[in-house]
Amino acid sequence: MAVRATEIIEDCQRCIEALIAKLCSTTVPWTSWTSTLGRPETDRWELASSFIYTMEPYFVEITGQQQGGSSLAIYEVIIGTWNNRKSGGAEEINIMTSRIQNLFQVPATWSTAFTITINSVVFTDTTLRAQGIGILGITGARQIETEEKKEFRNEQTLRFIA
Amino acid sequence: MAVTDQLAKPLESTHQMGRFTLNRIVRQDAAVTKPIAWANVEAIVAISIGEPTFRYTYDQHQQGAGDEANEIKRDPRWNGTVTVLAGQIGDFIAAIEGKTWGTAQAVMSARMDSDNPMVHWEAICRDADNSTHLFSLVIQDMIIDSFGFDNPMDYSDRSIPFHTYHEPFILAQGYEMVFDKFAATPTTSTYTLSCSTPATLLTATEHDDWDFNNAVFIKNEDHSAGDVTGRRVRAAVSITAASLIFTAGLPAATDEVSVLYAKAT
Repeated sequence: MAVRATEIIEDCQRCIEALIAKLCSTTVPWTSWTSTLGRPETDRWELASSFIYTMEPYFVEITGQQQGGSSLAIYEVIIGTWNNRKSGGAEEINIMTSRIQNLFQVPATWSTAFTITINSVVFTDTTLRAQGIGILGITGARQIETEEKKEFRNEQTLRFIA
Repeated sequence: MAVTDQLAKPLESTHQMGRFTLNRIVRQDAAVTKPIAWANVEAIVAISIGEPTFRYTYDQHQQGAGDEANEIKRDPRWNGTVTVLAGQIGDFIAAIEGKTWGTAQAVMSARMDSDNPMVHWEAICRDADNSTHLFSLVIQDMIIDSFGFDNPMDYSDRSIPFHTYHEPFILAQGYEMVFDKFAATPTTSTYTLSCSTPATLLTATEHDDWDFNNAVFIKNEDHSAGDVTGRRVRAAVSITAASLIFTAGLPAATDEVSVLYAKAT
């Protein structure tokens, strides 16, 4: 287990983003999209493709308390999908949202291996589980209003234990 | 260890949940082969097993020992329930009874008259990747009890009662159960298991109702006497590596020998 209790927000966000980034770099149709840590630094119009952003997780509640020490906790994180008119449209955003939903509903897919550096240690072909992140579920998509009518944006909330 | 020790937080896997569990069975009266293939059981929602009850309990005293008593318990029974998605009850019972529900047999009854062991159940508890084995819950000699039906308005499941007279147990990470069955040959004392390295399960002499360190049970079905579920052979038989060796009471011509044991996955 690598996510640090003292840096858990940062480490968990980077692990979840790294999983999505791995898919975006290797697996069709994810390769049509870009993964960003938080919202993109650049203006969304400058991005070459639709993108998936992973926001900062937030603490929800303590769970699995044990006597005599620390406990696990439940966190939630917003994962957004944003179709910036580079391709697709309504169909594209539906596919992106469905893929995110399926990713975190099927253990075999959320166990996709990725590589990440945490605290200067490189973890090659690791998984969320191996990093101490247990997926509990994901909500359906909430539509987020956009400036352009032909631009589409959804957000889903991923719930996990760490 | 100090009284001021602070425990680290548990691993995420300590939150083991049934949704990552694979349930599978072998039938006690399966056709002879080794190993008998385990069949996955689908649509399981939960398995629950209560603490045992004993048909006989009494305090044993002896003269000259003051008030010191020795509590004796005999004939344990574990009751439990398997919760199944309601629409799959027919398929579930068919799997337990080894039937094909439909063309070959249109009726699946909820009446269970026999008290014979029906299946051995292995609930393989896995980590959140649905793959990494954590441990398994094993229910030997499971007997399904009679149950009722209902038909509620919405999504529903159904708890089907069962019992066993032999203890359920948990099997360590990295091991899986094996069920071998042999057609006996007269005068043959040695049978070869499908696995050459049966796992050491426990020290049988320290544990009631266990006769072997490396097997859950060894049974002999005396088909000439109409016995098709087998009786446990408790002595004059042993397992060494892949060899199942009878030193007395050799199985007869129409007998079938069955062995439940474990191996490293």
